[in-house]
Amino acid sequence: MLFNSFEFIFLFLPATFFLYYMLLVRRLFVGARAILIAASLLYYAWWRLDYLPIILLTLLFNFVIGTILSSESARPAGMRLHVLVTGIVLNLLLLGYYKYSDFIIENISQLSGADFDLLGLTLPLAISFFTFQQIAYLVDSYRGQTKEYDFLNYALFVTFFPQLIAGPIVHHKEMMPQFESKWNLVKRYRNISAGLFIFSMGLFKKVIIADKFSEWANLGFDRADYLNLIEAWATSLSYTFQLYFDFSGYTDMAIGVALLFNIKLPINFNSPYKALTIRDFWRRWHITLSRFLRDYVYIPLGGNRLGEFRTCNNLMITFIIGGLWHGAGWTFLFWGMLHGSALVVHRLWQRSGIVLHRYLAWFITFNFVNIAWVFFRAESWSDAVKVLKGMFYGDIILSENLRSGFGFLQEAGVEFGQELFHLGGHTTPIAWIIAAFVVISFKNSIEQLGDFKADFKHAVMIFVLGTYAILNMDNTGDFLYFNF
Amino acid sequence: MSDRRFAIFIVVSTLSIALFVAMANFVIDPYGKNNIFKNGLNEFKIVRDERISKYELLNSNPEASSFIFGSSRGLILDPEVVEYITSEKTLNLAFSSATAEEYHLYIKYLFETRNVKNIIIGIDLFAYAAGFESTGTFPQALKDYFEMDKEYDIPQYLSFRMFKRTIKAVRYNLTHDVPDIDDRYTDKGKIILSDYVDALKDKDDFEYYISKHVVSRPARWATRYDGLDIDRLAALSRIKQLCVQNEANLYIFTSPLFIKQITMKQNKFNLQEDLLRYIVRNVAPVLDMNTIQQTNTEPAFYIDEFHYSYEFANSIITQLLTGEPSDDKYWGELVTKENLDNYITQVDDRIKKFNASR
Repeated sequence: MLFNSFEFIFLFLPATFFLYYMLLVRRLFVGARAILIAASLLYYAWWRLDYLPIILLTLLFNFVIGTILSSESARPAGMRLHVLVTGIVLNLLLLGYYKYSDFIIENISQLSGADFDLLGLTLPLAISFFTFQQIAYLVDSYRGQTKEYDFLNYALFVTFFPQLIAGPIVHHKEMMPQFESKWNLVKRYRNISAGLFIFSMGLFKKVIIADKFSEWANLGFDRADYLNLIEAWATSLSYTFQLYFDFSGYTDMAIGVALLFNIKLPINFNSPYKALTIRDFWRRWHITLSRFLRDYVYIPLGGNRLGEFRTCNNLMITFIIGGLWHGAGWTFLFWGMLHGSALVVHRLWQRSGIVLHRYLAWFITFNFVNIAWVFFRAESWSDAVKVLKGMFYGDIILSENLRSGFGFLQEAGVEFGQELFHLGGHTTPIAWIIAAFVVISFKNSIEQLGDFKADFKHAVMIFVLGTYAILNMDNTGDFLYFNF
Repeated sequence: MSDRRFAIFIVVSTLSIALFVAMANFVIDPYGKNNIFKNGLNEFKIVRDERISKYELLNSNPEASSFIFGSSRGLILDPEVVEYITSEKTLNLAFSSATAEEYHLYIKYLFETRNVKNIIIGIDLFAYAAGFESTGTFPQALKDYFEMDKEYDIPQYLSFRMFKRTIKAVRYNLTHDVPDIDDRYTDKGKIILSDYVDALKDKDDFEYYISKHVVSRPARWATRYDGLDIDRLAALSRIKQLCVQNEANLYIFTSPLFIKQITMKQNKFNLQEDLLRYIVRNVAPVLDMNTIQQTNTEPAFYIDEFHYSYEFANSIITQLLTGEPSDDKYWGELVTKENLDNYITQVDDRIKKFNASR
């Protein structure tokens, strides 16, 4: 059950909403929270019922460990550290078993020449997200930064369905107080109208924009062998925009749904493709993952406190882990390395004191991100290389319509024909890519949420965007970040 | 506007429009998915699925006793060639992206409702591949016949795309008479045929046509999966049983593939060979058109990267029914249990040689 599915929009969400507020009106606060948890577990089990015990077990396990770590009886430092390490290791082992076993076995087979059978395990949905959330909770419990939360609130923090499947990766400090707040236990139409506004924006981004780009990105990566220069760039840019509109659309919907229950989720995107440096990019892209990696990997490794070399080293390690978090594969690892290296280069560049013109800085940053996404998307190393080869060494084929004016370019090896043949033959992708550049230069949806007023203009806008998106949901695809 | 009013306006207006669209789509039913309401506004389905057209075709030809099945490749086969050889009224019941279980149901229906003499099946890998999903609309009347579930899946009617077809269907039915059913080629097929015939008139045009539609187009396999579907293979075995029980002839051939597809890197040709092995060992001998000779390497034998030419199709039918092709250049190999292993070894060797010579 996806946010962009009929059963979610017309059944699950309204039913949960009305049941929740019905219980709140009758002052059954515990019951209302229990309904949210039950709905969240139902939402999780919708895909596969046998996933459910895994999340329930990790929930119980981490609550018990967190309670031990934050309780007075666990004061001896050595014991607490042991408990923390055990908790983290078991969480990582579970994640590793499901996510990385086959990757490790495959590489051992290749190195040793033996032919070990793969486990062929199906990745439990959202395991990367809820594992990171709970590790953060354990570490903060160890640091004495958690209160004695009650189990219902903890269960809601981990399972709350708007953020359960693909984030944002929420922090207990920003969620628990909201679950405990009495102010959130009444129906607030301000939040409901704002929630509908941002949900509709997200739905439109996903169904109308991201899914359109996915057609060309999929065609291009499937036909990587044949791409000419324009097709290869259209392919990579299509994926770059698909990923952004898909994931930020999902986050907008998650924020919107949470607002219906008076819960404010952290923002995850802040116009990342407007970034002028790679560091700036990571402050704008998947903000909650960057925050987790900074607080629970980079800083514990020593951050920037141990000299330049160690700082660069820590950056690399952090981003390699970030890459592997997205998927068990060499292309993901390489993507992480690319970003780690870019951050190192940026750090060294800053020391030189040279400041680039903002447009040049944007151009370099955007193109670096775009090229790196090729490794992120490609199913294999060779596919990534093929697309990149097309982007830099592909034949230049211009539209037949340009032949009359630019025919002289033929002498320079330029050909004329159907320039986007392998992407369906139409020039629509180019128009969409240009439009996407324009769209991302405007205020993003979160900024627009800040300016939101329940007026006629917004009502018409949301009605048109939302209805059009709903009536196009019959042909929509999964969210990309569900795979991670 | 208060926040409360805003929220109510959004929910009510969106729901109203969505419901209106769903109702209109359900009643007009432009794809013929439910067949519940029949009236002057929706009598002719403007966007007919070939599956539905072919069902209508077979019902409007009760005397037909020979039938051709397959995918869009099978659509190219001319029933008149079969009629010429067998003297039996023949219908081409192939439809795009056909899967084995789909044509099994048509064949079962045929055997239960009339005297069937010949069944010809053009085999494509995707029709037997695990994970390949048919996107077509199966005729509701045939579903009713087999007492299958009706499609009351309401969300499918919440579709703007379908709504555009609904409007088109209503406009068409208000302004046109219901057209006759053509028993040879579908509307799409007629356009392709006419382009091809036009190109044949001039040598340069034909070379350009082949270069554009066959040589320069990328190869791809319709399925991304790496296994055969046991249920689909079983469907073919059941077709064989039906033919044996009813003393009808079953003719099977594999659709010829252009060499680009056979030798592409992410190739599924090994799987196609597995399919061939299965059919020959468990169902019937197969006329295999993928001998990796001229039939697969000559671009002019194809009308596009996926589909063989009309002349080629006529020759396949002729060889299938008489043992000899109408033109030797389109020679296929009859694969039986006896020559199966030897034949596949030869094919693999030819592929290796072809790759080495490139």
